Amino acid sequence: MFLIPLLVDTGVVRGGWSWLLVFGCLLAADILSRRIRRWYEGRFGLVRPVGGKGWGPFLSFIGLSLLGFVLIPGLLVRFMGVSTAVFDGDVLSWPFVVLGSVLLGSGFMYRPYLPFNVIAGALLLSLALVPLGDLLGLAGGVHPFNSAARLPVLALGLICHAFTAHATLVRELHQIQLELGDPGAVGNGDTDNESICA
Amino acid sequence: MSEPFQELASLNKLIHEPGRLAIVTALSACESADFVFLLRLTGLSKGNLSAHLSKLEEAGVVMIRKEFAGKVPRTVVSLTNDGRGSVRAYWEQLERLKREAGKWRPVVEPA
Repeated sequence: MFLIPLLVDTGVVRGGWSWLLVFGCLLAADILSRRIRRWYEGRFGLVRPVGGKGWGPFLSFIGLSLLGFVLIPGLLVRFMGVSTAVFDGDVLSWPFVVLGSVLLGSGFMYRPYLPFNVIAGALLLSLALVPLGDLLGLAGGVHPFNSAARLPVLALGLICHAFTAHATLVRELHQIQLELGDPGAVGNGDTDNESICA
Repeated sequence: MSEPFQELASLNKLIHEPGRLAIVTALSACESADFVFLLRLTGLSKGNLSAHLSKLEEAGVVMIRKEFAGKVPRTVVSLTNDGRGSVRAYWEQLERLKREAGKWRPVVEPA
């Protein structure tokens, strides 16, 4: 999926074949994601978070966006003399620098539950910070995150966000479990009543 | 026996049992969870978890419903409104008792 826009945009796959390729990959991704989800829920169970916890998540999103897209660039330009072209140009991909930092930060914050976010965040951050377009010899030296690969990389970010949301809840519940001790160790006398889980 | 200690005996025994306490406390932190998740989280055996859930359901603390994920049945458990209130009341009572017991000092009779 991540390579399709590159293949299409760079002309490796053309015309109707490109649409067929996109459709096929979407279908494969859908089937695969359902299988992964079924395996995950069968192995670890399903937990649904309490819906509508107020304005917290929305305000966090606004706050992080303001910090990453307004405050930090503003401060760097004003006090460190950094050129505005750094944030607008194609040498590095500033939106993905912000996204990578958020993923990396969330991975550390919720460790040990989000090693995937730490790896994905670090990878994204490092790729977004180097002039990848020049290194790959792309036309005009445009950073691929600013053109063809933008949507796939954004999709990766959203997947990591889903992991974060689930892991936060699991972390909260495991904390409860730690505080309560191990109820399974208490001798309640096992029963054979499995009627409701049959 | 003085008051806070006497009140300990009046704690909701349905919730106070460690296995059930783990179940309802976990459920109070989320909207719903399935049997497998609760099994892994609480460390109870299938039989114990099932028995505890049956008791909680009979008392109207939890609601159990069957769902299907494709062809696979799934048992989903959630707290009822009354159940949520009972869990909240239980923790509030326990917190209050803890505070009062912390202030309590034995009265030493003069010889």
